[in-house]
Amino acid sequence: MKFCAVKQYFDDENNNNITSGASTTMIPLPNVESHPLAILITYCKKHLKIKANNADNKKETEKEMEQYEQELLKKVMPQELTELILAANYLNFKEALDFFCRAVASAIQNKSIEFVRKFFGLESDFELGEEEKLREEFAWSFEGVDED
Amino acid sequence: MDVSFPLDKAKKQKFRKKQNANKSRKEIDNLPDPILQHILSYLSTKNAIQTSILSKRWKYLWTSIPKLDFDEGALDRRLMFMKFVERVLALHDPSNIKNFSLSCNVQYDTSHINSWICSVVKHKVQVLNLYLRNFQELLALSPCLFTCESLEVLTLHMFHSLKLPSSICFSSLKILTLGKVIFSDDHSTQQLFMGCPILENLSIVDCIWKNVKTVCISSPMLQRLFISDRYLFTEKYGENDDKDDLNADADDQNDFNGCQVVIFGTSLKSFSFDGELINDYCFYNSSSIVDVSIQVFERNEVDCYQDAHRVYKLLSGLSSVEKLTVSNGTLEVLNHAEELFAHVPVFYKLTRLSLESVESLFTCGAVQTILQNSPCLDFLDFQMVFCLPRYDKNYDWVLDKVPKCFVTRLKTIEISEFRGDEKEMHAVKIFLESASVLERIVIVCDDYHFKSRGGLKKQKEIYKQILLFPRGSMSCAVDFFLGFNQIQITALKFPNCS
Repeated sequence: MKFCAVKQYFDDENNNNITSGASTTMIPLPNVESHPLAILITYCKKHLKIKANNADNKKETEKEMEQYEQELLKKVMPQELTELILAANYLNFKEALDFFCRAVASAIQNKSIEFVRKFFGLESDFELGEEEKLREEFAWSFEGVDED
Repeated sequence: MDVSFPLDKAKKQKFRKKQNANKSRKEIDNLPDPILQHILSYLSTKNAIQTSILSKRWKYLWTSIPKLDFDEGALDRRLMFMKFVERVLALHDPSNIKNFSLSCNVQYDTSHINSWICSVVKHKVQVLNLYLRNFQELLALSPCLFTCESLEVLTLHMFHSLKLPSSICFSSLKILTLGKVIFSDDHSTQQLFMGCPILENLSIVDCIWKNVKTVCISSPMLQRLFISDRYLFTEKYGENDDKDDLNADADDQNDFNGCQVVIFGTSLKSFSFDGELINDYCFYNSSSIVDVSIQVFERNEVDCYQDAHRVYKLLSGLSSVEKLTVSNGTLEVLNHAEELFAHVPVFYKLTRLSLESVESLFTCGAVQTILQNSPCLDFLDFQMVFCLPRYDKNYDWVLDKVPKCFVTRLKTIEISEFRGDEKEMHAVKIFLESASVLERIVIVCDDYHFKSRGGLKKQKEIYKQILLFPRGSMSCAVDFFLGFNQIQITALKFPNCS
């Protein structure tokens, strides 16, 4: 049963991102689903583990963390990123929030506007000519954009 | 509302779809503004501003980004670039612009650039990087920059006269880097250094000092000082890309004998010099110094005697150093004034000396003097730099006077980029013989050199030879590495000969 398993995690680890941290009470998290929560907990545990392993060596910690993050990103879909970001934000888990926001940023870096719209699930709601005006105003930044 | 039920995922999704039929899909666009802005803060300035055309909601989301970075590149889209920077700064919301980097051609647009600087100062900028080139008119940077209370890091790189206002107070500035700047006069230059009360790091890179006679650097919290005077050097061997009509004669230093730069290094821990000693640097009160690196290039026949005196002066003011690195060039310069050897200070705290060639120990009087004057030296290392053989082929050197530290203190000798040639082997032999308390000699091969000259077989031969050299210290180990980041030779299956 997933929820009980999550509760188990609360009992076991000294989690510094959960504000209450009580060991036996159930912590209701109405805004977080169990799937992103599980990923976040794994992320947190991994982070603490890597930190403990490389207590003196900050560079090693960063390197290992980066490797783990790369692996994690391969398994996460863009839509899941939204849930993860919301969960990390609600739980006040800064490192995970920064990480997932960075992941979204690198996914859209230097991509065409059409790609970014698709990625975000957006449609342009500008009036006629408004987009053109913006493109002209910031013309220098619109030169030389990669296509997908 | 989403509640964590212990249902399996598929059931949960169906349940959710039924419940939230009217709710829009969980798209990233549904994240609240602050989170989207957080995402934008990780994008480059160009990309962040491009998001303004995604949809109405995104039109002004970018206006809170805390970092702005503008790099003009070539001159071909000048008007578009100027308009872009103008609009971005005008539309930015009142929140702080923490980092601002501008790399651009100046031409006749000094007033625009100054207005941009004022704008970011108003936005409480903390890190400001300015790389300015191609001036067609004189630039006097806006006075508001020099009284900016929020500024912590300033990099100013421009081959142009530094015209300064009368009032300079960088109350928060910790790191200052000046590149290729032409100091205008004594007074304003002095005001600049005095206007940085909590400065910790100062880098003066290839600047032009010819209009300054004397200046004093005495920031009480200055910990790291880096000076590079390679301007004339790059003139000789390279192109100065920043030269323009306004500075055509900046390198005309014919009557210039150098600026007197006095440094009170009360908190100074690290000093590094690289270039030609066109100025006369003098250190006072610098007993907290830990790390010094002096890489001097020999100038010409006329100046080398004076330069030698200048190097001695440097060493004298920094005699409390713990780790000293001197290049071959520095040693060559020192050798021009042998009569000063007797006046080399005692380096009471020197524990580590870093040199560039093993032969300097035998052929260079200055090195021998430094060693004689370093009673506590326990680590001697050689970052070998390849030199064409300058001395006669006779490698029968001896250490006539073995430095006292060799007999009492020297524990480690490290040689990198080792090629195993005759002179190096001879030097290793002498080290092993004379260093009576040596614990380790570490030899790291120049593996590239060995690739085409015998490879592993040759390296093994050399190792065997070294193991047979008589040792002054009974407990000395020989750590022989096949290359940088490579294994030690003893890690190979190898008959042990001690």
